[in-house]
Amino acid sequence: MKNILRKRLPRFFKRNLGIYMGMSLFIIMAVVFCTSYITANKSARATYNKMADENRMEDGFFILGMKADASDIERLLGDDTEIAYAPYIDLESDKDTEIRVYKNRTDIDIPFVLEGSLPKSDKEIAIERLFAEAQSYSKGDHIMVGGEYLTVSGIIGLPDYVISLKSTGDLLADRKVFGVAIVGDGFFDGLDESKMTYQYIYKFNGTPDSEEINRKNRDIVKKLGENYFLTDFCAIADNTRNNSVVSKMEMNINTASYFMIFAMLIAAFLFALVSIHTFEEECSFVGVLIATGYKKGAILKHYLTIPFWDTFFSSGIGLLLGLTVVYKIPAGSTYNYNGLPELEYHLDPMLFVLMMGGPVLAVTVINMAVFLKKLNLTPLKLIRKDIGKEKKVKTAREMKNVGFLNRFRLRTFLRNKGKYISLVIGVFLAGLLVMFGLGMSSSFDDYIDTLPESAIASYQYVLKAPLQDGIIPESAEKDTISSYEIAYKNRMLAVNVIGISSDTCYLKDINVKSLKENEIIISNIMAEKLGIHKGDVIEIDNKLTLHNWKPTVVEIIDFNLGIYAFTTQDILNLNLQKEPGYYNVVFSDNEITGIDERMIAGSLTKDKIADSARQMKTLMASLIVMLTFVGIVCYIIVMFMLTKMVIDKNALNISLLKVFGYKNKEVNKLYLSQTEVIIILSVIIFIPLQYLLMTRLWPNMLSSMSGYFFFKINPVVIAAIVILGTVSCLVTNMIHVRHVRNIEMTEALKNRE
Amino acid sequence: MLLRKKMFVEVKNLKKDYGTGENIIHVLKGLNFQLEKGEICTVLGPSGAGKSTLLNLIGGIDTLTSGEIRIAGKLIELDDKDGLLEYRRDHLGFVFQFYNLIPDLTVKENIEVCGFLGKNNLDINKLLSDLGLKEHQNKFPRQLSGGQQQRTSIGRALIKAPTLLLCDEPTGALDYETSKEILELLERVNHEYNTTILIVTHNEAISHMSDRIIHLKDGRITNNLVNPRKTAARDLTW
Repeated sequence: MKNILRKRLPRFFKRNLGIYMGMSLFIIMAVVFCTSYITANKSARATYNKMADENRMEDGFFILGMKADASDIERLLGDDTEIAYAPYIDLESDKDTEIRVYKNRTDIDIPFVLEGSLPKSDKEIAIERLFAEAQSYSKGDHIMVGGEYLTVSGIIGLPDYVISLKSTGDLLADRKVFGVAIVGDGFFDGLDESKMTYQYIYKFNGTPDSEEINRKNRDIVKKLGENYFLTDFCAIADNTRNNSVVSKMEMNINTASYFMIFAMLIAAFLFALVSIHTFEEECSFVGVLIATGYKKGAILKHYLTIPFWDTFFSSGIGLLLGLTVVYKIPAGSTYNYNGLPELEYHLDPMLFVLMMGGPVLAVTVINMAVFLKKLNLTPLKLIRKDIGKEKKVKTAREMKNVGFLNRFRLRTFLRNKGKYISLVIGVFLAGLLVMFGLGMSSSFDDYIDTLPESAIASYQYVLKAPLQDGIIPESAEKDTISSYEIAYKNRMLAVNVIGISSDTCYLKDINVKSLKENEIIISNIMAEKLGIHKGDVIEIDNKLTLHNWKPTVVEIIDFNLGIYAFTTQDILNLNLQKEPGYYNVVFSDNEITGIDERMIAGSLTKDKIADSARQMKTLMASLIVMLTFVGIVCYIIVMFMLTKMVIDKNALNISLLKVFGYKNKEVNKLYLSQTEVIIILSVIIFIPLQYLLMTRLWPNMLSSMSGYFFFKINPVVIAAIVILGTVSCLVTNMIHVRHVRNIEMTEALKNRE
Repeated sequence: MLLRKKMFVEVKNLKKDYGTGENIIHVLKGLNFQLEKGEICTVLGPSGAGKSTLLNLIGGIDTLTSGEIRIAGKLIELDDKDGLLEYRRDHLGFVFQFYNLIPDLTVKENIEVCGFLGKNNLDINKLLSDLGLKEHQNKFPRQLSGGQQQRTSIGRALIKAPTLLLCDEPTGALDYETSKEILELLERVNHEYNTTILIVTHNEAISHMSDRIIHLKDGRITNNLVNPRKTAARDLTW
């Protein structure tokens, strides 16, 4: 008996090949995408962590105004903090580039060699990999550095320059103009000391937790501030040369995980529809099986077999492809942008559980739920296909003034509303995937377009201290800026607080004049990212002065540059214990040329801002392209399956109409055009709803990013969604219509028993 | 000179095979018969005799292997899909054993499905009254008895006033009393509209109400009789 049922399985599979292939393809696509992204990014993170461990990545650095003895500082900070002196000088080099040179470091931030060796003589230099690639330098090349020709002894990486930003405040790592290198001790010692930056790197002994690290960092700032001229301090967690890498990896993993959640939701929905569809088709047969003595368990097993193995193999194929081939795409993208060692393949066993167990479990549970409920019906009801809810069928209301065609369509719609509702839900969910993919791209585009416009001025100079009078032209604006931190999802997020001067011209739209000491204005980005509303009290801590501030948010303003807060210059100077008139940031629409380079802590131009956004998009390009591609393919698959299920249900009626002499055009008018109309209308109507949902989910998706940008869709995206929806609906309908047309009319009559 | 009577349905050397090569099955092995306009003809035969195949071929929903079928003197070109479509649309009415009603539509709308195609339709309200379906016109098929469903299906076939009504086991799924009701209805249709009716059935009793009885066995006509003493449908027993 069992064998007979088993023999039926291949035929059953063949008969429903379209639906099962659609399911398979959907699962494969979703699993491949998520597996590859999660694997690539986890591999990158593992490589990063290993490098941090083996190459003794710093826990932070600080810069002093003048040289101090490292052992003195070590004594000041206590035994559990290891200090290394790591001064650097920025030197001019070939091709209008600038190279930051260090001596070799042996205790903290130890360089890793990818090719060749570290410099063995004063005439050699080892350069960072991505800079070497950008400049097409290779081992043995001679390059001019600081007026001397040096030979490239090796290609290296530096744990503290995973992204080689010139300043931690920079947004952009432009390897075309800036690189990092290690030179011989003799060469370094011969350089002009007046141009040297006195940087110290430190590492805590043991493995303190994040709370302890925070406390220790505050302690370092306090002690250094009291004893030395501290010009800069940056803990590794706040260091954009490193943390932006980690956050981008996290963001990729986050995005892939969100995608998987959407995909699983759609898959579960499709599984449920497929199993209901199967049951409706098969219920007479099921009734006969029960009537002839088959146990419900055996029947359940029979109907679970194909979905189970279909899902199992599809997830398996997806997992295998993702783990072995496709992961190389995102892995390559990560390696090409980040100064990491050769990526070490990291296989997360949880992926097997999530990517295979998830879909298989979902399909099993959903099928069991659908079938177990229906198997409780009496065999007679099953044989008669009387499987609907026990509700009294009401006599229809006559639609006197409605033409036959419309009446037909309306009746079909009303009687099949369950199927159409499923179709509409499916369109909504699948559309969400496409919007996710396309929206990600358009949001980046919008970010790139609007970011330079939101720059306060064409030029922005962050200074280490106020300059002598006369250097800053009258037209420039002198404000105060300071970096604070705010708690966000178990970590600290940097907030730039700008103290606006009373005679502001660049920030005059921000009404800070009436602000009291315990009041603050924040950017809309900060509000959305952190979920802050007007009237909320926020708690922020200054990174350098440790000033703790709990102001009330009195206004939220449109300011797209990032996480910014605003107060008056006087209030901020007071908070920072600076004298009235102190400033450390200059905004100007014209370039200011007279500032001593050593006094500039960071500079920003509109072009740099635009470049940084563009670079960020380039970095995420593979994710965006794949997400869009997978979203579109999944969308088409869902459309195909849903329309197939609706049309399958009416296939016999369509054949019957052909027997009566209906032309294909007329059949299309009666059955297919309304499906098309419903799909296309749903596609259009759901766009605002999908957009709303995406904007709600967006802050969580970007939670790993230190910055933020809004989810935006432009008219092109809307048009693309509508066109995609329409075309995939028309194409899938065409395929189904051809299938229906091929049904023999005699078969249609036979099957109606 | 003997005046040749004009025939409405002419079937000449009709053959139908299924499959190819060694697996070929000869379902119809050369059938020849003719029906006059307004005749009721019953085709009798055991299962597998080829009754339904014959009906499908005359109905233009299956292709023949060889031979020809003429309806009202016109050759039915089974390769001409558009021609077949017009033929089914303009001349034929179908009544099936299992009614084949569209569950989403009411009684009236099911009838209108074919009315939509007709050029000289009967009055639907009169037809509903004639069929005893007036009070059920807004019900869905699920709400009807088997007899009512079959009456609806006959109404659907009749609405466009077909010249030929093809009935495949029209009482096969009905009880005795309801079957007789349906047969009476077919008889009335035949009288009132002069519709030629071809009934395929297992039930030999039905043949007594017809003008012509064709016995089919193993794809061949074993008997083609003109019934000299028709029995009224209401007097049939089995």
